[in-house]
Amino acid sequence: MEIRDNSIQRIAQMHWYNFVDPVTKLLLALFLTMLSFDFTNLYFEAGLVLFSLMLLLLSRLSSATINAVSFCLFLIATMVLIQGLFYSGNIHPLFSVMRITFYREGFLYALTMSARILIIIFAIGFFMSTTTVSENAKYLESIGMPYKLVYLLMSVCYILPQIQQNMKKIQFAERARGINPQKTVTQKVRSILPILIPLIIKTFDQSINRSITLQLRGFDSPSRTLATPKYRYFQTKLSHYLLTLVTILLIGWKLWQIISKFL
Amino acid sequence: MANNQQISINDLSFTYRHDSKTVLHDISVSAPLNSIIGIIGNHNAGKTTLCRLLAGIIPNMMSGQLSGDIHIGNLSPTHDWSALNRQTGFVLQDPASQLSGLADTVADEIAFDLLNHGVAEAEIQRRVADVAAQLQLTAQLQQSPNSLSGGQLQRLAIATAIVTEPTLLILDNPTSEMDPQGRRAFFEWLRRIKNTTILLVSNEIDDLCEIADRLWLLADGELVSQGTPLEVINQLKSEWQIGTPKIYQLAKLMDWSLGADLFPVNINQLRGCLHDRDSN
Repeated sequence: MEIRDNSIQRIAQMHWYNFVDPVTKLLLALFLTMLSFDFTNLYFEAGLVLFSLMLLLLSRLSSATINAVSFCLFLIATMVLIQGLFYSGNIHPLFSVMRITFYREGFLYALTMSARILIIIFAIGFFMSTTTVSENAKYLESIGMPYKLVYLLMSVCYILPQIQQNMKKIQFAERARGINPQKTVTQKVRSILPILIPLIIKTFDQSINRSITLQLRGFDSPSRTLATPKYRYFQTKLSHYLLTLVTILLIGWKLWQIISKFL
Repeated sequence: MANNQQISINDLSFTYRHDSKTVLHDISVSAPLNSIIGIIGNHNAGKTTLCRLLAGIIPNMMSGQLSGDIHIGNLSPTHDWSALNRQTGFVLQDPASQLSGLADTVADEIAFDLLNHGVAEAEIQRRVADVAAQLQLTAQLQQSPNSLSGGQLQRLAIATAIVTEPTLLILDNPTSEMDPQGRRAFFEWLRRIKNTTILLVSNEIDDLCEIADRLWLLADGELVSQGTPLEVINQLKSEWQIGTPKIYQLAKLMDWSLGADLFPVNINQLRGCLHDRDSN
């Protein structure tokens, strides 16, 4: 009986995003981000937002992504308000409410910034919700990255979800004991502040323990069997080269735009 | 020179770095290999630190002021850590920290150690299935480790430690989150293990007295008593604040002595004691 390898394929249905390797997904996120920085046309930005949103909606939408998006929407609303009122280049009034004028330039600037934030959130959300830690680790190891480096990278990437998981546990315990009802945003924020330092210490403690057990479990052993990728990916090398090339071109173009201002 | 059939600890003292308090003071003790050694003691007695020293976590991964030496057979955790580590299975107090965090399924998590040791895939499949059956995790093999209960997580942590077939097994409070049935099954399973030296920190004094060949009792970092469970339990002092097994309490209450003012601490001793009384 096959009890281990390819277990995920057997229990879950394959989706289109399972054919895209993790590095391509990350490069795609970087490419979309650079596109949004290079082309400032608002319609183009809106198109990119829609494209990245479609990517997210056509994949697996996790509650963590929804939470991140809702938090960003709150930030975006604040940004639009502040820039609309106080942006340094504000000239043309858009509308006035009770003698407070809201300007067009600040509003458009805030919209561009918001679009970039949304593109980054949607693209990274697509990566996070369609790959697992083990898939990323196995893939990176299979393309030649040293396992120690893979583990270090994964630990850094997942330290925030680990903090979030610990926080949920503490808050759940608090609610169960009736300490903090956490119904409103203020109550939620207030409940986080006193547990912030113990939370970070606990997470670091867990990370130290994990690194100890990994050494005990021989993860840096020279005889380690190279991991095989979880799925069969489509045209990995081509997509890596293509996306890397266009991303480098976009970075170069952005740098040229900045430098040419001073020339 | 070290006896290669013994665990021997000589004048062992340890203080953690950035800490003024000495956690272990002048511990000297020995026990034969392939026996089950129960380590008992109250809070902050130094049980976990002793386990870390025996596994070589101290001084190889955690530092501090260390004096004295430890020999496990002909290996020392200080000098031959790599060789010793290949033969050691360690279960942490917190089972969640034991997991690699890189496995999607319980089966992959158990296989992690074997992959690290370069074991062939067919052998990995066999050992994972075998260990899962031993620890009643077969039904959970395809589940995510994050979906397991506390007791199942502890069993998974034990599975990851024993899958490499270690000759030294160090278990730091491995039943703290298990239900009574799971705990009973664990101690039954432990009793069946052969050719392995087991060092077990546990507060389950009844179960320890049933399976342990020797007990080491720590109090405030000192080894205050050691010997067979019968010897240690019958010499307990109140200031050590160690609970006694129910069988011992009952025997003492009923004055069912084994002679020489010793009271039974496990079921076999109690049976023997009652049998002797009936014959007389």
